[in-house]
Amino acid sequence: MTKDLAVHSVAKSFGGVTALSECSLEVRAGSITALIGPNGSGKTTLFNCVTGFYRPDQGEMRFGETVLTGLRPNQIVHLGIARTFQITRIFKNMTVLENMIVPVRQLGMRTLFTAGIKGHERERAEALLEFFGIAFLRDEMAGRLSFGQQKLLELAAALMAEPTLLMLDEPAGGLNPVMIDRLTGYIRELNADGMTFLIIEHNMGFVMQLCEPVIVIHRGRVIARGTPAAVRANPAVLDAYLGD
Amino acid sequence: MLIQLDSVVAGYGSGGDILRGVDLSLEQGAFTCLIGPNGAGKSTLLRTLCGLLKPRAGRILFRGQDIGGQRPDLLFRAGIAHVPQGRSTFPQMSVWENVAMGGYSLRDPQLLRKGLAQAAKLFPIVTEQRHKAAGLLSGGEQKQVEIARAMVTQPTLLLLDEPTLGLEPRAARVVVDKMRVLNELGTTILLVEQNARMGLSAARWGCIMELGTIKLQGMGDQLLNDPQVKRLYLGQAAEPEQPAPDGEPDARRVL
Repeated sequence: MTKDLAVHSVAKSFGGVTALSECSLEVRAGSITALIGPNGSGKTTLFNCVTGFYRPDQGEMRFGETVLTGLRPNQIVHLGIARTFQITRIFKNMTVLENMIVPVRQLGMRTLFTAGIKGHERERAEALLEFFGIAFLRDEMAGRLSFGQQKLLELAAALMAEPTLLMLDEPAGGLNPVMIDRLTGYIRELNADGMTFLIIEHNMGFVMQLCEPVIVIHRGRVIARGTPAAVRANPAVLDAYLGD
Repeated sequence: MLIQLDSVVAGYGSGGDILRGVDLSLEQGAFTCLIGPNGAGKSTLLRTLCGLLKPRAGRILFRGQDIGGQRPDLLFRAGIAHVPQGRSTFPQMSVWENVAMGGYSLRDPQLLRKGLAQAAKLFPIVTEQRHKAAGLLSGGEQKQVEIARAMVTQPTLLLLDEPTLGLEPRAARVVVDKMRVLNELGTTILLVEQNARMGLSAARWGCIMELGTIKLQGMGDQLLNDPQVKRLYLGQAAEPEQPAPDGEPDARRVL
């Protein structure tokens, strides 16, 4: 069962800089919701609040009935919310295959690999690596991969956790167009199986063909929400983000 | 030829070859865009050209001289500037200090002044935000500062690695326009771009790289319209959306 994500009046400042103020939005279970807006509008800060990397100054966040506010990132992952990062955060000195296992093992680092990587876990990891075209790199140190390959690895690893809500921070950035198409198809497939998505992205072609609704934030607040066509025709959005 | 690569092979540490025999030449004043799948070796090629990586085999001629394996600082002085992928500003330093760092290698104060003035003229943001810490600028503004910094020495060859990565559409367009201007003023540009449609439209010449070699090259618009290239490298994402009905903004402008 997937759940709605509700963000209510969340605020977050860093020193004197306000990143989010009175930010409220909802991600409906089963949707592929896009979050767009100018650089520095608070998109990634919102991700960091929802996933427990930042503690908001005020406001409340719920995933279904569960209050997320105050939970730690690892607790939030176990509720079924996984994410990727704009600048990838993989373990550079671990192999590609080892990186895939990290999200699904809840053990300490020391015991992480003593059980070996086999059975269903291994099959799933291999299948995901295969899909993203990086299976041939399974035994490479992840730090050796190109930027785009590291992004694919991070995405594949996030999927290992079988989240119900997957939050992607600029998944198309740095990927070649053919891979973007495959990613689009894959997100659609996972969504058809019930996975909810919240996607930050600047590639408007990708957003407009995949996502609905599209939520636009500017200066830490939501300024528009609607279908791709409605958002694209919204004067406030054109002014703040898309330009003329 | 400004730069000519013959069968260049390169890789990292004890790892396998990433570049597996690259043949490429750029004329003075060219604007070439390099596209291709992730892991094809595009960034590695730029790093080899600016001296960060030593070729294992093959030859790199810059103005007729073999420069393969020369130190990056010497190549920078010789006129090859590299703007790497991601953010490379010094976030705590002011915008002006960041740009001035680009002239670090210039010993002639007059040349330095001239270079700085030129960079500031091309990128007004350098003057407008001169006292602001670079880390406080938006992504698009920081990228402009990085390119301005690379322009202080007035390089002959500018290597740009995905300069529009992570930028909002408007900021990406500004960066593309700046590249065009720099090229029109005579700077030779080798651009790596995953946003293949945008890169190929901005550049005059396009090269497709795959598995460490140049697979195909041609005029930018020719490649854009080639059915095979579309299918293999540009994908659906490269297709412009259907023109919006009358009265609605043109969707193609936001891609």
